[in-house]
Amino acid sequence: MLKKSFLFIILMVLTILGACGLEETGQTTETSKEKDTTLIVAQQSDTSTLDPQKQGKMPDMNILINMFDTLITTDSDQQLAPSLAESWEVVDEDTWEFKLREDVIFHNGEKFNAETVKFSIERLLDPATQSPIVELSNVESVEVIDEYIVQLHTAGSDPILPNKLTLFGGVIVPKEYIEENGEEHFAEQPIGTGPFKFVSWKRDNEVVMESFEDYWQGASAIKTLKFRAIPDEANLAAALRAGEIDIATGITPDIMKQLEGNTEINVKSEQGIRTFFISLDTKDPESPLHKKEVRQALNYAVDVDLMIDSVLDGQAKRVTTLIPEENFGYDESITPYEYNPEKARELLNEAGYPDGFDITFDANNLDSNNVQVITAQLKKIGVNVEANLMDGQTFISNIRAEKASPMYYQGNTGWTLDAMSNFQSYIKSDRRYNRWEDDKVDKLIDIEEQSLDSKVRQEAFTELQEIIKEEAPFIFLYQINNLYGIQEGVNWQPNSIGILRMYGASK
Amino acid sequence: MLTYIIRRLLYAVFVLFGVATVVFFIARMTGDPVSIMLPPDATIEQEQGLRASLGLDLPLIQQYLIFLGNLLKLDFGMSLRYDLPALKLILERMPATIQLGGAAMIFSLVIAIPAGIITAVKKGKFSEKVVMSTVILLQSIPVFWVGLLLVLVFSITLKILPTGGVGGPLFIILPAIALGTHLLALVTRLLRSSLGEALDSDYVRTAKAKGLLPKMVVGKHALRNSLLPVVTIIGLEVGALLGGSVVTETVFAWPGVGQLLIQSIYNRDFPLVQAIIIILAGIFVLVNLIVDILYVIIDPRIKYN
Repeated sequence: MLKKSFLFIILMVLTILGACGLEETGQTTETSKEKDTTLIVAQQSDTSTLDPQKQGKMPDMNILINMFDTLITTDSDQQLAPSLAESWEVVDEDTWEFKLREDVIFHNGEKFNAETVKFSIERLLDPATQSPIVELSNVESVEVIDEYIVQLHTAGSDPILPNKLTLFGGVIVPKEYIEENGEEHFAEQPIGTGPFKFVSWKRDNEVVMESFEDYWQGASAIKTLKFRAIPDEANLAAALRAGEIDIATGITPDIMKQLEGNTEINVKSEQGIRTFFISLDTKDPESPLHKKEVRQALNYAVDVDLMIDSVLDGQAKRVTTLIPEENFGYDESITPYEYNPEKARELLNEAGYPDGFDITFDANNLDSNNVQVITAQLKKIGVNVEANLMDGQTFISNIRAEKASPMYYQGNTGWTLDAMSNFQSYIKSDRRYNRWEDDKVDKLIDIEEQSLDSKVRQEAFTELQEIIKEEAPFIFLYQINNLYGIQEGVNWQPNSIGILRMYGASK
Repeated sequence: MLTYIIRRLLYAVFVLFGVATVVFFIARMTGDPVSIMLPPDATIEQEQGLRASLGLDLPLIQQYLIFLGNLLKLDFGMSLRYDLPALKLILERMPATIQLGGAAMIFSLVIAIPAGIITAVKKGKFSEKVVMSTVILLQSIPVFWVGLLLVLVFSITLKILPTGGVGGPLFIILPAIALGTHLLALVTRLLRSSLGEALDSDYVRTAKAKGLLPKMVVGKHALRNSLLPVVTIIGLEVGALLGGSVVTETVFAWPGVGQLLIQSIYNRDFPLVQAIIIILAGIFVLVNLIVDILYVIIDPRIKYN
């Protein structure tokens, strides 16, 4: 009886292993030559779709940017650079004109021209597409001038329309292919003009691509590109240490420390443009935060440099307001608040809170270390902070439903590399996350958002930063570095936006 | 017997209806998918537009009735995050989870049954103490920690097994071990006590007195009778395996239903959360029914009227 059941169990084991074996990915049969031209990149989440106009998040874009091109791109100096559009200029107040490259084809041979651009942008703006991409909502129409010239008409002026075409909104999709095969087929078998062609996708596991040999900038040195999703951070580091992946992205300073002793792995740290700050609700007249002196006191009370050195292990840089130094509009002559707890106590006294006050503070539980440091420092000046940590999505939902605490810790990536994006949702009084009103600031926001003259815009930004620093509707913190673990022998240059463009990488 | 099964199936429909209702309302209490789908610079109008096109602007009761109506047609709706039918996504993932759960169960039984027999037969001896203390230890440590430890030893230090993901047969070994440890410990302890009890019973003494070999006594007489509680617990543990797979799949980047559930809760992907919970509950109810039917086969004295 026992022997029989043992045999039966062994048979079962073999069956299960056999079933797994059917899914062989060929990882074991790779020759060394293939290994040299295969690059495996891992991040913590997978893309949710392969249709680039139905996603609006960085992890998704990181994968899709390798299959699709945008009209315009950014170079290593964070400047706009030609991609599918060779050049662009303002025609009048509400029109931008783009001259397109003439030698571009999609992976299936379909030609790229002005009609393609018109189709792409109109598809993005069509409510039926249900696109989460929002930055082109001011585009009213797309006009084909000739086969390689296209004009975008906006409602009012948009000084940073070209910047908005460097990622999500600027992705170009194939007109004929989608019209012939339908939306669903396109999402299963995407076709772009990018350096890599789609091969296969196992959701939440791996996207496989291969080099597109007719790419307009020349074929990539990497012939097979794989993006793996490894949600658990410790496992991500383990996969890198075991040599299963070439590049691990989005690692934290803690993990970075683990990897530093390893001779086969290089840890790369690239200054990033994601800025962090604490939003303060100034609108309730009963709240201490209603008083400017209190808000300034909070800024004097937080030792940001200490936070950067301790919690962030030096992988961040102090910022004066919400703008990272890479973005247009940043004014380096305006210096950040110094750490000065005495001055903070004086200001609290002036405001009528000599003994401090109690307040609640919301944050994403991933940021708990940073929050603990801030809480401890505010306690020193008598401000008792009760921190509520929650998962990131609950946190975002609460902010958007206006159910968040008077203080919350927030990060924002202005990927257009223009300060307009950093201020967009936070500063003007009619915007969604605004919790502070100032008439003069509203006028200045209108100037920087509508003027096409960059000098005028810079002046507006400078004045805005001065006022925002003085009025302190936020506790200003830092911009954090993007950290990568890279296998020895892999060449790849990260960028400040943190986008994982793998064209140009080699092994 | 047949009327019993039919009655149980009807009862299952009620259970699933209850589950569907609870998950519908609880999911909606925890947040809003639209706010997560759109980037921070979306305007209020854009948010409202998307909400309307997803049908999330209707009164809750109306949404609930639509949901129930579709459920009767076995239509779980479209996933918000993936823009694909929820059922299709789950069926795509099911094989991976069943494979992992099956492998974990086989791994645990292959070790637990011999270990249970040894500890029952060698009561009070040194070998029993060693096995039992190991088992207690295994039952006490959490799955994710076992997982990380296994990765540290087998993937990083020895470099013989992959850290995670799917591929060849090697990929299932570590997650199956991590997921199976708890069940292994449970079955070992259960079998030890129920087999111990059987070995002390009159019929075993009689068998021994007749001069049967100890092997025969344990194998043929005692073990059969002591398997009943083990079968029960295995049935109940299917739920625990499904629950445990959520953690294991995340740790090992194993793309099964568990990981899909975590992602869908994270993104407040209501249709997908609802579909997964209802289907998992359905599986659980069904497994329990099968266990009850197995009873009759194992123990002829049990009858359902």
